[in-house]
Amino acid sequence: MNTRRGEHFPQILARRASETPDAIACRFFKGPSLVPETLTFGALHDAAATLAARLVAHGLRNERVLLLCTTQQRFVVAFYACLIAGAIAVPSAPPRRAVLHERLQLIASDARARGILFDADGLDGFGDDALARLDLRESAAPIDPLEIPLRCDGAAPAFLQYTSGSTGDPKGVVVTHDNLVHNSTLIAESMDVTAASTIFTALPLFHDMGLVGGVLQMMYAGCSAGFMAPAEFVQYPERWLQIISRYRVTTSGGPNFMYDLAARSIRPEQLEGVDLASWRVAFCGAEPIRAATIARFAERYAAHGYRPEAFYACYGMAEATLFVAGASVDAAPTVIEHEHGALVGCGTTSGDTEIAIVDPDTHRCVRDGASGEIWVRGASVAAGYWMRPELTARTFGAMLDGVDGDPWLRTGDVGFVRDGELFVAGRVKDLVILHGKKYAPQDLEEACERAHAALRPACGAAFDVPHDGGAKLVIAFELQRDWLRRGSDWPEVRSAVQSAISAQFGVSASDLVLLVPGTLPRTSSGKVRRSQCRADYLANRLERATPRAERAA
Amino acid sequence: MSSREQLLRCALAEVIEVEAHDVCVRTPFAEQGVDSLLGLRFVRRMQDLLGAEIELEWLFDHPSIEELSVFLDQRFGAIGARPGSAE
Repeated sequence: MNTRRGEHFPQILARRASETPDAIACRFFKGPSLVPETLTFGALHDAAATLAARLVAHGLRNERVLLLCTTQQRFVVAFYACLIAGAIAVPSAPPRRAVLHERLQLIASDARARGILFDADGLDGFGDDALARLDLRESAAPIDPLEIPLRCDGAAPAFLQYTSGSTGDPKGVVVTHDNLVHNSTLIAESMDVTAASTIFTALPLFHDMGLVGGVLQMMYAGCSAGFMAPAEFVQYPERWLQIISRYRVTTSGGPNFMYDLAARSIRPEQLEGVDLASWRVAFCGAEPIRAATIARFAERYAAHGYRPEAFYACYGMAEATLFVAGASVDAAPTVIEHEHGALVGCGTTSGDTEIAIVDPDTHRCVRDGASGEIWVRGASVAAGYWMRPELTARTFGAMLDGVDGDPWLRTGDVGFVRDGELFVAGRVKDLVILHGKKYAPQDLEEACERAHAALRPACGAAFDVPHDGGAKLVIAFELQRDWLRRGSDWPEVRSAVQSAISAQFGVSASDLVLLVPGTLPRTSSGKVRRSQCRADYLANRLERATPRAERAA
Repeated sequence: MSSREQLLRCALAEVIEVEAHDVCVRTPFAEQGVDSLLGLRFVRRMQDLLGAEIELEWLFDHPSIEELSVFLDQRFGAIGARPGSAE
């Protein structure tokens, strides 16, 4: 048993600090030495309880507090301080540029934030006078650590997780203390995380995967976790594998792009002596999992002791705290051929989590094996969106037609269950509807990328736009870089694409927009934002590639 | 083209996986497909080549090879007679 009945994270922290005060909770990696700064459970408790006392002294109990940390050490301490103090943390990315400042302002007002914990310049003037500001770099007047209560209200919000959504309309998922314990239990059981495990993450700590899957899972299981900044991983992906080898990491992962980058960009000499045999669970989620990437990664690192069975596909979202379904530990991934191409299975749910595959229009369950919207219910499903009763009712309060019982969370994802395993195939609202017939945009995009090598795989969006009372099809695709300057060959690209979709689907694109690579709108986790593409297209804001004769001097 | 420009052009070409002569020194990075991920990869490559700390922000403030080269020359001194390609 990892936890005891009635415990929530403040109590789990108190128990870890009293039972194993000197055990290492966190290793913070920065730079080439791979020698981390460490934080024991005892030291984490003391620092968090002291900061919690300051939060309470500032009147922030039960209030929303923005959490903007440039160092991962301060983030971890500040997050636990909020949990202990009963302040509702609103973790967010420290804004580096003006556009992010605007987004932060939207989040601050949506959350009705009353305090801000920060550690960087440029935030001193943020917000109005009602906002309590705590600069984590300053040494504060001495204060007695807050005593952790024996119980806390499980139904109370623990933090707000703002989701990518559309840029101008941030939504805060209300995650309760009960949600956190429940989902942590699911993760620990599904991924077999115990006190003997070692976690490593290079994910942002202000998002669910790094936060619930790293910062909280380490405390829940009583094991240690290593942390590295995401930007450092992108620059130095070899350090991911070097750290796994040196610290005998058992549990580490991230979105598909991390595996892709690691498979492509690490040079053999950077991995001399690296041994990945300790890596038991290489989890992967948050964006479509590509079978080719997994295969490439496994093949490349087999010589370093990486086992294909370590790969662990999973499915989840902030609205369900994090984890919904996951593969079996020590089993090779299930890959099936489907109309959308190869799909990787995301395993099964566990505990009290249920999923239903539902027709999004009729709200009836589809026949066994058919595709539909994935609905989820269980104790990990969050309380709703902060201060959005209508949106919460629509998204978290769905009922199956003619069936009584507890409500469901509508995920907006399309999937199906085959042989008991969940497969995720796309998004509901992205369906392209032409003349009353529905097309999955993924199908159209796949046909395009197969039609001509000038298009970047998985970098396109098909969507419909209103036209003459009906709709017409628009396809936007990023060009491969080496095709950017071959403007004279673009007509051939367009014609190949039009022939392909006409032959396969009997539709034609009213416009085929060729984009500059890297400009297709995506969520922060890499999902293509087709509705944003549509909006950008209609506003003429897509980054169209322009024929360029000019070459470098 | 200055030595600095040649060096940066090779570094960027490697990161965006094209030939060096296909990289334009005047075209803004964004128009050559440099997104935030590739920007970070480019910064790393420059650090490896120059042996100095490079900040990602500099790519936004000096958004082409030409402009970035001028900035880096001012900050670190011009690269003398060193060959343009480090590889």
